[in-house]
Amino acid sequence: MPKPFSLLQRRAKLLASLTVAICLGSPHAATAQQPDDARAAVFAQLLQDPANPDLMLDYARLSVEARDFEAAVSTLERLVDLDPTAKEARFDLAVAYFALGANEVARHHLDIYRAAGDLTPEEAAEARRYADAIDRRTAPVSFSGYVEGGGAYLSDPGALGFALAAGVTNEIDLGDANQTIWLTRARASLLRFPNSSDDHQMSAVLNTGPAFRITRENFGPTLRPFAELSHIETDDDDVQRYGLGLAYQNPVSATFSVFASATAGGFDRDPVSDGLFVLGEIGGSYRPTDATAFWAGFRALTEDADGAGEDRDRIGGWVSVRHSFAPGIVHSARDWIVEGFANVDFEDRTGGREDTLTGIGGSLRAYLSEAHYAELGVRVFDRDSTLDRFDNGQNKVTLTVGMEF
Amino acid sequence: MADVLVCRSHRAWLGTAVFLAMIATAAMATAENIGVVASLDPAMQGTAPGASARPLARGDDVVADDLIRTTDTGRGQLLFLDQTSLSIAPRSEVVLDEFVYDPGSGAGSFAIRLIEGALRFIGGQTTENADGIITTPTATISIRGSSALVLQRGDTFQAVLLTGDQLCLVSASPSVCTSRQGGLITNEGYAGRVDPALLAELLAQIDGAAPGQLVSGGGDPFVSTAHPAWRGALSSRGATRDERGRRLFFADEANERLMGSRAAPVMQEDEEEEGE
Repeated sequence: MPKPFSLLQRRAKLLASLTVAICLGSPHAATAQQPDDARAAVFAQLLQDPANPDLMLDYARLSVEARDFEAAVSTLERLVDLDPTAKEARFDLAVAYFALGANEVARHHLDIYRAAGDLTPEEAAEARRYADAIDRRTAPVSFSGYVEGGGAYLSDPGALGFALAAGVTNEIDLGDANQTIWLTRARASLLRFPNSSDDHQMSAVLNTGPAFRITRENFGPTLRPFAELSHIETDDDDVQRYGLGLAYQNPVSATFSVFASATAGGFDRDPVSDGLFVLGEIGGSYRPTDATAFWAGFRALTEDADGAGEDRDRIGGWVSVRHSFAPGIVHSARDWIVEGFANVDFEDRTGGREDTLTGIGGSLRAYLSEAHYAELGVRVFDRDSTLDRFDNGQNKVTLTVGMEF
Repeated sequence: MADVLVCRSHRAWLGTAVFLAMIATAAMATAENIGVVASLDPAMQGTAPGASARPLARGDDVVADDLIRTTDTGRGQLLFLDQTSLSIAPRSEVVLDEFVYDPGSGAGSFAIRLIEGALRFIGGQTTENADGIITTPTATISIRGSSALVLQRGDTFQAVLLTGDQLCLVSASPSVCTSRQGGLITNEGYAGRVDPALLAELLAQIDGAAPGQLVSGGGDPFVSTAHPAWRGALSSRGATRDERGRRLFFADEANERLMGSRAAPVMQEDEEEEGE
């Protein structure tokens, strides 16, 4: 007789309430961007002296700092209108449009800049980077991804090994008025410790489905039905999952976004059991600055195993943070990224076993070029079970190099 | 006698002219200023309601219901109190139908009529949360959080979404919208991504011919520092598509995270023993 999961049910109800509150209480509603005081003061001066180039440059710079690239575009258009031969203003205008995703008009101004600008090699190279980025953005079919490999260390059994991982994302622009895309993501990873009889891990996931802009707004909420297959394998057993799901995402404002998803399907856990599962997640992000972002989420999983297999229910939450920064001590083509996370999950299994799983960790990614990086990761995991023999802890350190494409 | 009659007639005309000028000035003085002439090359004309046409100069106010007219070679740009800007091509007529703006909240409304010609609309605060409306003789479009090019020459209507969230042809039934930046809407509906040659032609109408030579002003570009080429696009209000907003796969045998979520919580190893 399964133990009544009253505590888990209370957690599930809380998750459901939060789901309703966040998804329904956070409709896509753009927050009006109020100029800050300094910008407002400059704009007031501009209304009195609209053709003053110093004021216009000031206002454009302040707008860029405030991530209000549309205001920067408006001002730079005026600068270029007053002096169509202004080289730097023309490039700034092209990049401001690029920042807003206005690829066609960005390319128009970039072409003028490249053709008539008498560019230095550095200027030409930078313009070429933006032109290449525009080509990638506007391609009807695009691929992006990464490959990485390096060393890994597991505290239990104290083994050194190697880690490999690769991921690819394919986007197909379906060409309609609302930029519906078909999105396919695949990821595979391998962790192997040659000098240990244990701790071989391999995983692969494939997720595919269309992304719809449900309010027909470019930066409005999206809904994505998807199909997903996964395979996870260790020395002891392996599990395949297959499911259909629905993912929701809403970039509500410059600082806040929300997301949620639900998946249902089947699993086949060899050699133990197979059955059905339902998985749900809800979360949000907060970006106080351009360089820093926080995420938090709640998730719940229930597995209903066939026959003598073990049912399990898991509910938990996680937080993570990302901060990008210029390293300062060395010249880098891209900002370095430091990330951290913490998670706690509560799992109840058939037979009364209850586990608390916690994890904490972080990583530092140092970009060696725009596409190449080295990354150091440290992760600490702990499983605390009501059955002591299932208690486990693991520290994992990885040092990998990778390439993005 | 005839000389007296002529003299009185001249005085009458002079008096009428002075009277009309006073009315025009009074009309301008009482009309609400909604923006300024930010640039013009070389000439633009404004006609306020109840007033006669006036030549515009840089820095002049424009008012609600002003009829802005450009000459065959004249073009200009208007800057509104909420940061909306309108760049008007030669041979264009635009009526500034409606402008309501609350600087405190940023709320308001914006509507213009493009009787003939071409313009570039870059939205300000009033169209962040509410649709801006541009009406032409053959179409009515709404714009939200966006910038657009609009052309009405004879029976030809074209609108291109440059940046932002949405451009809709609301005079169609049902309305036709595009959220695709670079998307082209005509009276027939959505017409795909704008052809680069058509875009260049539209921009040339509004901005004039592209210069054959650019000259350095000595300063450094600054936008590229804030937005390198590898960064994704932002909305007009600075929002970005959160690449981490994806489902985290919930695996129990291995470290697993869904693609893109590089530092997501890592899953736990499962050491379930057989026979338990």
